[in-house]
Amino acid sequence: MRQIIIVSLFFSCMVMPAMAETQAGQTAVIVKPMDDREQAEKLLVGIFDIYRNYSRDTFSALVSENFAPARAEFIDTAEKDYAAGAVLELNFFIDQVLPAGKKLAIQFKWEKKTKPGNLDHPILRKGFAQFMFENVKGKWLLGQVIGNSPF
Amino acid sequence: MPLSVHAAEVYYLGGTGQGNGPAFRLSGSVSQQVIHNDVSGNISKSFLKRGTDYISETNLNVVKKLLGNYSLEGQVFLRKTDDPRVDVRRDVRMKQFDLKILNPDNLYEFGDFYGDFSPFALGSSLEGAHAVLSPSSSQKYQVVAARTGEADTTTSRFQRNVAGVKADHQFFLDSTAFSNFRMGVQAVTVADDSSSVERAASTKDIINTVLSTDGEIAWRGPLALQYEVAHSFYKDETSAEPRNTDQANAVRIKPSFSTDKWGIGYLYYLAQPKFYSDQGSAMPDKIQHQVNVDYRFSQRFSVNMVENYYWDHLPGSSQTKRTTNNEQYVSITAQPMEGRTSFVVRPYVSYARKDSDDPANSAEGATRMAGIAFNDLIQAIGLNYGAKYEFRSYKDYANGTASDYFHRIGFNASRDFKVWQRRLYLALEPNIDLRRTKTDTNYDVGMNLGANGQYDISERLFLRGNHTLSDMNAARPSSDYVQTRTSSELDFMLNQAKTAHFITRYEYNHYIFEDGQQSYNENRIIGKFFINF
Repeated sequence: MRQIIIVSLFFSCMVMPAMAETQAGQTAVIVKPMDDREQAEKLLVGIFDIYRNYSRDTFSALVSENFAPARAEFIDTAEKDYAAGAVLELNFFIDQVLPAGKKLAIQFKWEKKTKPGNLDHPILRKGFAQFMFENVKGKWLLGQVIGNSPF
Repeated sequence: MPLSVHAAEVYYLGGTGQGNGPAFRLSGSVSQQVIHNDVSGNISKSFLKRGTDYISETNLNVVKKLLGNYSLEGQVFLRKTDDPRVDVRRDVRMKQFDLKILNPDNLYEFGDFYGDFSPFALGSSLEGAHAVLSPSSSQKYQVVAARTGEADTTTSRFQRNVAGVKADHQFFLDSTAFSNFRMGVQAVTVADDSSSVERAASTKDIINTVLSTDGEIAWRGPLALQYEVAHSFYKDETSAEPRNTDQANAVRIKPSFSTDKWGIGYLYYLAQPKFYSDQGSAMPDKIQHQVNVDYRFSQRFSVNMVENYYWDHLPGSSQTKRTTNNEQYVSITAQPMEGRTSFVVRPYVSYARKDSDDPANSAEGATRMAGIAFNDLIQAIGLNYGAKYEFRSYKDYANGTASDYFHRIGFNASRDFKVWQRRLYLALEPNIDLRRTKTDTNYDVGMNLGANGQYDISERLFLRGNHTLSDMNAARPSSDYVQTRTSSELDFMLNQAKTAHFITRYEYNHYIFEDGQQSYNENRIIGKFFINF
């Protein structure tokens, strides 16, 4: 119910003044394309593809020098995780995509199935994480991971 | 004027919205997906459940000009699904709502936003109100009053409220000495609302305040400096009475020097024990020294070197031992052929050593790594290809049986063809992994093959396919497996202007384990319609 009220108010606020202003002959604003969600999906697909075919060279190239709290430890953890067993499956479902200047925060659920070398059965893990990517000289790099890291 | 014509002018659907158009624009997307899953075999090893699920998603964006130079931007993302993998609740869920009133100097934001003050003070997704005010080109203020999320009755987690302010000042705007001189101060408090959910035995409410100052100084020349100094005040219900407040500092200082040929950076990082971040969670205590050196010999040859040295167990640490890490990394990027800059070679080596005060109970060890990768493009036939090799050796000093050696060999190739005047794209990526432990001379041999392609049947109809094969021949007895994942997709573009698509997709996933007990099959049929407007 709360959601219906908020959405109704959202559109009521927009539509009524818009009609009045258009009749008054005002000009349009410059519109920024809203493609953050598409961008977010591309970024996650990209980093998970690199992780599935891990090499330190390619994976670390996607992690920002400003990674918080600690870049080297994050890469080491990902590397150990990859070396511990084959990644059979890695799925994600995006909830929120929040742009902030040159940053893009993505909240998503993930599922990961691995086959550790020392076990006879696959391990299924699930989690919820927030990845923050930052645009450094035109390239999107991972700047922060909060929550359950899939790596 | 007919109503429909008037409506089309008011609610400008589609197009760029630029120029002297209407003052209101509504855009977004609607998608509907129906998925049928069939799982057989050991279904406990599958994420899927048998049956049919649907996912309906609507994304609406509104931009509207307001009085003066203000405009309004709004976004709503709604989802309804009965697939518990996507959402456990089946009602219409507003996953994201954001409303901004802004002009070039000021921003007032309500809903979901990313609170971004500084690495130690605030950097997280929030729900509430946010304002950015710039009274002059040298001043900028931010205010946040929000929460990190709703109270969670399942985990008995309280609602966590966040309040914060940040003030930034730019000095020497017209200076000939500095290109950037920013100083900022910020304060953020997070506090649990203990009335938001019924208390469980494990629930504790916390209050944490972080005060911090940060800045960037860039001289008109090769030198620059980034820094942040923060102090946190934390207390929770478990603190002894009178409730003690844990106080600690965190510091990061990063000077750098860069010219056309050189890039040298140093990072000093300190997080004292019991320093709590914006989310109220303890950061691992650590002192770190990191040096990066980049040198460009020419346009075609460059080298990157990193030395990273850090240790924990600072005075007051809750950790039982000190672990010291020392890592070196060197990589070279080369375009060895002068007339063929698409041919790029990247050799690299790294060495990471971990030492501990308590070797018998720690992961004390050393990791050595060496690799080389190259990529090239044969322009005449549009062929991208490359190869890589990586060797990794891990030596565990505390537990020798955990030591192992890893060889990874990979190839990739992709090319565009013309078949019956239509585009055909094919990509192949075979890999071989060889791994053995120090105590076993037999190797785990993993072979992976990835192949995908697309054929443009017509201007509006596309056929896509993907196939991956993972075949593991393990050193341990009765541990081999084969996994086959195949998908094919037919994508019909219904409307080019609005990018409306109808997609049918079939996925097949077959996992066979040697003992037969872990094997399963997954079959999925997916129908998806989406339209952007």
